[in-house]
Amino acid sequence: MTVADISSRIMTRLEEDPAAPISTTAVEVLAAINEGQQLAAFLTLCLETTLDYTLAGTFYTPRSTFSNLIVPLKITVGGVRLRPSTIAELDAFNTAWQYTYGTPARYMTLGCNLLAVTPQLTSSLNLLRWTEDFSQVWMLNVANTLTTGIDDPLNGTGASRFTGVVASGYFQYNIVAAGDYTFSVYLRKVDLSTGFVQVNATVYHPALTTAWQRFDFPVTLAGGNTPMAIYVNGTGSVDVFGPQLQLGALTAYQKMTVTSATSRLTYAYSPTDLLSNGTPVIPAPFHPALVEYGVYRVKLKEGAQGLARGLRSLNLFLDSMTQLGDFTRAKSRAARYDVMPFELALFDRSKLIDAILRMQAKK
Amino acid sequence: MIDTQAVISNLLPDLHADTRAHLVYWAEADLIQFIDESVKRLARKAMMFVERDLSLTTGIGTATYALPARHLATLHASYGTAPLRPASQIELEAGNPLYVTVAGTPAYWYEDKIGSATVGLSPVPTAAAALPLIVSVVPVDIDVGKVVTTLEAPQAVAAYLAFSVLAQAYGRESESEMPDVAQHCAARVAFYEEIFTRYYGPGM
Repeated sequence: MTVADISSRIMTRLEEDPAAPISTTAVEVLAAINEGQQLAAFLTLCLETTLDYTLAGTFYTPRSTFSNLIVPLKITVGGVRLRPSTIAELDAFNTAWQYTYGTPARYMTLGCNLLAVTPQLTSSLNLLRWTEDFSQVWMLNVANTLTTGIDDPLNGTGASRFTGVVASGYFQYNIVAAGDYTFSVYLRKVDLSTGFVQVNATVYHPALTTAWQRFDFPVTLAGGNTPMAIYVNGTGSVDVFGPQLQLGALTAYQKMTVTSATSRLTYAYSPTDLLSNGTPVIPAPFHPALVEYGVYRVKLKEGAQGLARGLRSLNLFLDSMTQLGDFTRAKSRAARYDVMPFELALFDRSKLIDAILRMQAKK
Repeated sequence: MIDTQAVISNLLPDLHADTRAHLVYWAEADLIQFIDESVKRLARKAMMFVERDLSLTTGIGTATYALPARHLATLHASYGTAPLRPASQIELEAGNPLYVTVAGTPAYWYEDKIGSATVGLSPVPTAAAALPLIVSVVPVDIDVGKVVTTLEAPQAVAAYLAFSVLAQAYGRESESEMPDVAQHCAARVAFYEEIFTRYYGPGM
């Protein structure tokens, strides 16, 4: 059914000429249809969509991105579903949940517009990305040979060997705020070659030995897109491990991979208001319910018998919404969605309808 | 985003008027005030409006802090990056009678018996640190001067506000009073509040 069909049926039920109504207007009827569709979507959560949502931190206000959001139903990262939690659960699981680095595993919502995700893909301890894989976001300065799987100073094999000529090596850009930072990296020379480090425009030549040493370079950065580079100095090889850029003083090395990820957010949404030539987006079998709601809504202002007749239509609308809500609930439960629609079947309608009719009957 | 001016425009037929100037028993200012009162009622009834406030910083030796404006209820507090546990003063006193003065890294927050709109920390901070709060708030006033006319909320709130205005408008003692319409609209308001509570949690 189109909006025009629904409007026409409402007018007919009100014994109005659709072309020249007297007790109502086309605008009022359209507003009633829109209100009915909004209520249907809100009551039953029957309208769902799944869109990309970039995660790069702990707290989010998702309505800033999705203004039609009613409630999140499901969030996945890399195809893996995040588990819904309460804020008390997050505190109980990990007191550092607001600042824990790792792959997101849980989320929490409060109110209609606050979302938190933990762990976070960003770490305040290391602003660099892919610190043990120079084949990722790092950019090659001068061609060299990269050898991976080298024994690292933390008893792993995350180090890399740069073999090349002067200034061969890698750099990566990061957008940083102005402030005092520390850039650090483990370096070890393999042969006669040595290495150098460049932070923004400043070059450092640490004294490399054949043993692993962690060098740190306090720098004051002006902010903006800032390069960090590690190069070989001379023809030969240098072993490199664990570059780290952090605000403030040096702390233990924090391995990093990505710093943001695209999640898939499935949420129930409010439909856009219909225009007079539109078609409702709630399921077609429930379009007649919008006729019932429209009749009720226009009759409401009449009070007395008009309201009483309108309440009968509201009852029919709510019957339809109970069916649609039950259907959505069953579907959502099967899909393991986190939020279920309002259970209209358990709602006591007596105050909404029966009490009004009884009140009128007493008069 | 709810445009409260659009809500009023859509309500005009229900109030038997085609324009704001033709409202007989109510002025536009009345309707705006009804909406503002409804928003505040909604904030109390359901936990719709939750914000993370980063305005507070602890001071060395300062135990209590004024809560942010529009604060309704504190849901979570952290000292820097560490979450604090909610407690009552009687619990803190049982743990340490000197809880009001003992210095250290805060582990608890409390709001009882220190006056309204104040949060206390125990132990008393020995360093300056951020005090991030997650709080339920009352939205900014929807004012008659129309400086603030919008509300960040799900679209269903528009209908909630509309029924709330109708309940108040037709419930007002006057020649326009329609008790049955007012009672029904009040029941619609309660209906919406039940759904809001289901989706977003109970209010105060």
